[in-house]
Amino acid sequence: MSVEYRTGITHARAVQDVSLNLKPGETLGVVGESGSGKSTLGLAVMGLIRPPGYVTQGKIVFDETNLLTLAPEQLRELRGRKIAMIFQDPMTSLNPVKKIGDHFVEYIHAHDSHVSEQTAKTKAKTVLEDLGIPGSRLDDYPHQFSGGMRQRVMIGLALTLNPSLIIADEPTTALDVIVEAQILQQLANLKSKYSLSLILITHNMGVVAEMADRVAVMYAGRLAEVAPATSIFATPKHPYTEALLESIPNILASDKVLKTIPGSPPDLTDPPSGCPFHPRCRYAFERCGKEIPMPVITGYESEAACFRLEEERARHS
Amino acid sequence: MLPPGGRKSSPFLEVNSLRKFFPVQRSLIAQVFARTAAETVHAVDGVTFNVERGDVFGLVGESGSGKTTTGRVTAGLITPTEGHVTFDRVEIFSMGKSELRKLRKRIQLVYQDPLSSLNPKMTIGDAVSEPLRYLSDEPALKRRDHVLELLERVGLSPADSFYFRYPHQLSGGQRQRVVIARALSIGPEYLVADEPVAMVDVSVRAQIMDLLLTMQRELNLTILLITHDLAVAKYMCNKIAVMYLGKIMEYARTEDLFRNPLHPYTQALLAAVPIPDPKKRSVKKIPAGEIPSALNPPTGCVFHPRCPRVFGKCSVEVPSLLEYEPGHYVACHLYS
Repeated sequence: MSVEYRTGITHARAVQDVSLNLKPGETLGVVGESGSGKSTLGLAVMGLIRPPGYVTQGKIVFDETNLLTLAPEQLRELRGRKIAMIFQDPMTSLNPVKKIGDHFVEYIHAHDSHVSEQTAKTKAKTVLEDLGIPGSRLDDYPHQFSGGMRQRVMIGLALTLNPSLIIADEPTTALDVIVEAQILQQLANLKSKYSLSLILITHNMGVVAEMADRVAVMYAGRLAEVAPATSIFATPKHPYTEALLESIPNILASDKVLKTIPGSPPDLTDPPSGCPFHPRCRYAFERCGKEIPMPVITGYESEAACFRLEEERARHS
Repeated sequence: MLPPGGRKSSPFLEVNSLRKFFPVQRSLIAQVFARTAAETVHAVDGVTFNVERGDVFGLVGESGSGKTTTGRVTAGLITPTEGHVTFDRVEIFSMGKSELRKLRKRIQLVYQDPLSSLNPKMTIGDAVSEPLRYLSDEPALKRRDHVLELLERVGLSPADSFYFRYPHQLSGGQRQRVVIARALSIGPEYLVADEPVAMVDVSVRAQIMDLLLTMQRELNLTILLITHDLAVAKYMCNKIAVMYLGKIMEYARTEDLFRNPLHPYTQALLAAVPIPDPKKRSVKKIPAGEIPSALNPPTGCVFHPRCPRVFGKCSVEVPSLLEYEPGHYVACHLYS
């Protein structure tokens, strides 16, 4: 799948040729820095790419249906009921002059106007109590809630219609570390209780290490590598993943010397030729600046897009 | 008792019983009809510590812990409600205007967001030379060479290609380098760095942390590093004070704090940090709730409503910061 943002004369290729799959019940972590395309990827699955953004090629198949071929009404029906999304900042997603309970009523009515307000509020109460918020607080306004509780409300809203997939885009980035840990723990518990699949989009390697079954690493709109969490952290195959893991501090590592990655992530309106990571890559050779590497299989459910791996393979066979 | 931080007779920076309360602005209607007393935010409530020359001293805490206010008070930017800050043996808040002006040359700040701390219409060269223009009598020609050398020094190379550029033409990491160069231009001895890497891309963070550490070594700077990120503090600091609701809960040399965290709050913070290693995944013991409002802090120990080891005394008596082992201080009744 590819997504492009066309603004005036510049075209930003936010997502390019990304292929990924998700199994029922799985948590897929999508990691990347700002501009890596990770959020655009999430929005595309939700069918929320709006002009000047366009899905220029590819398919998004959910439960045997290609979402890109659905009519807007069908897509709206699917959104919320089957796939729901949680964003980073709950304050901008909640209406400040509306009571928490009314958010739930509105959300449920958007999908089924026949549900009585009473039924909707009962549902809201159950979901909130699952998240540790007393049902009596349905009559409060968002500003009476702390940041962590607002984000729980957002998670509650996402769960209301019993979707099978939740896409969480930086759900804990705006929160303090203790609240972050609380919410991640709850998310993990609810995932099994509501039999959800989860796409967790984040820049934080620690968060994916705690949560994900499999991890997809994105760089400059492309998929650098995807592999089971344990193997990606133990034996990263893509030079970007390897360098990233060597550059982040870890409170458990004793006197770890960090290795810095030179340069900074590229500008998507003017990306480097060839592999987008080659100007910063310690292993780059001539071919990397000329051609774009395709993903090669590197192990069980693992692939990485790097010429070094391709050449290694050629040498062995 | 000796305050945490230093045992020498006159430490480089001495913060003593610092309090900073902010009055809450009420609307006119509230003022006329108010039946309740005016409220105050207890941002910093009795903080004492010493920083030695050459320290990279970490103030760690969640939002609302008072770490930023403390940092700004030590830089002389906010007048405290109570308490003293002594910088190189001189009390900051009893200084006259001309003395304070001289102090400006010795203390500089680096903030979290480089884009909002740079003027979008000012070239990089002008931005970095601005402190020199106001605070030094260096002639303009020399100033330019000085700035070019600084840009080179913070890794913006070749410097002359950056001199005439504008902030929007730079990446986030490069902008933070500019902010660091500007802070260093006047040759300060003390740098308050408030979340210097929080807004920098993950792959660029190590560069900026290493740059600050290199500058610290080469220029013999003393740094007060304010951060919410324990991993960043562990990498950069030699001493760390953990703050919660305006108070220091624990203070120690970095290795002691991570080897033997004493305060239940420090233990909770450390347990909550996501570890970038799936093999270390575990069910964590996380205290419930969130940091309470500084408008109306809990009685006794401010952490007691959330503390897993709370007992009778905790809600009544404020624990004082006591030395538990050499150089390791904790404010908790469990240890007194």
